[in-house]
Amino acid sequence: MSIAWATVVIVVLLLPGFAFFWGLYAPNQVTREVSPASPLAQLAGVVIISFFVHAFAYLVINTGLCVNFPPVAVPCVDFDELSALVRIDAFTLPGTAPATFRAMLDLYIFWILLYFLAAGGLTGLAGFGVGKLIENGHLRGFTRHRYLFLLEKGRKSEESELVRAYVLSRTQNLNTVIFYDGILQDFFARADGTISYIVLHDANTSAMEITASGPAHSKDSIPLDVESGASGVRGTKPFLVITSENIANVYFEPLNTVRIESEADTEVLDKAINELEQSSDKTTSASH
Amino acid sequence: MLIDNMRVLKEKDRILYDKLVRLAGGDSGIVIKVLSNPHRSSVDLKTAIREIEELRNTRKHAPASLVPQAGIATL
Repeated sequence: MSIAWATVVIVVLLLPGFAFFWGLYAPNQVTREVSPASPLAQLAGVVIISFFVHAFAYLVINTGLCVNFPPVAVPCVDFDELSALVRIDAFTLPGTAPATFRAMLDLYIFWILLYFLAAGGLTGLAGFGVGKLIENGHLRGFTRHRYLFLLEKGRKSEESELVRAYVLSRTQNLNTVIFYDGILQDFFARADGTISYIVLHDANTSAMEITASGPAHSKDSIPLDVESGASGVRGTKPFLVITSENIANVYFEPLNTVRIESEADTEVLDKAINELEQSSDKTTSASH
Repeated sequence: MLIDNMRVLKEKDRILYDKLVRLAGGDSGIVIKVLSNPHRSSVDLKTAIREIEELRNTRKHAPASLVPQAGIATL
């Protein structure tokens, strides 16, 4: 019972630290880890942050709020009560008066809940702020895998920023290796920064031969979307998923950013496509 | 073990890319060539449309022997 109680109390006391890391990982998709790269280091961070948050809150409440805040009767933190609460056995030690937990909780439950909500909320917001700073490039020293942020930049930009990925696969026959390329759509990365799998839009495949004089790449790529190659038109293209077992390495090439100055530009594009496809239809029907 | 999914391609970017490929007559190589110009980091859409149409028309009118065909060429 005492072990379970102590665990509950410790977890509750560490709430600000957990809230900070939750806030830290929330703004971006790169560092929101299901399991951190170093769980022990993160736990140490949780303990340290929680300690300083509680110490600071104790200082503010006991020297300021509960003394000099007359409009609201904020109660002071009674550290003796708190330590007794943490060490529940103390209430049953010989010579110790029976604890009156219930009376204390009935009286202060609102303030206790408010304290933990405020401490958790504020540290969560602080973590979120730090995460935003990292995301915007102000604290890049704290990031482990900067290339992930470079790739993610395009998604956050208002303009069209495409990244082309060239994936050297592990599929090979003698000295010939299969090569994929396409527009990078999504990818999962592991906590250590390695790619777990990659998703390519409008993917092509080609071959690379490894010779004594160096690698020789085939001149042309075959679109994996065979239908698109035949008709030239398809509303939505399929995508290719390549898992880490089949990825030797990836070369990322950010393409030119496409600036759309006005809505008129997209209308020009739609009009040009319509004209092209209508003329293509006419040619096809005439040939039949 | 995994970090969260990292979405790189925005939906509107994917739609724009697909439209550019359609404008290129289904030849994504033309779009990639226009958007891979090492002498610039960005291009406005009107210029991209013009360059794609020029390349498409050039390839259309070029002799068949000069147009790269889909398929793995000899290494």
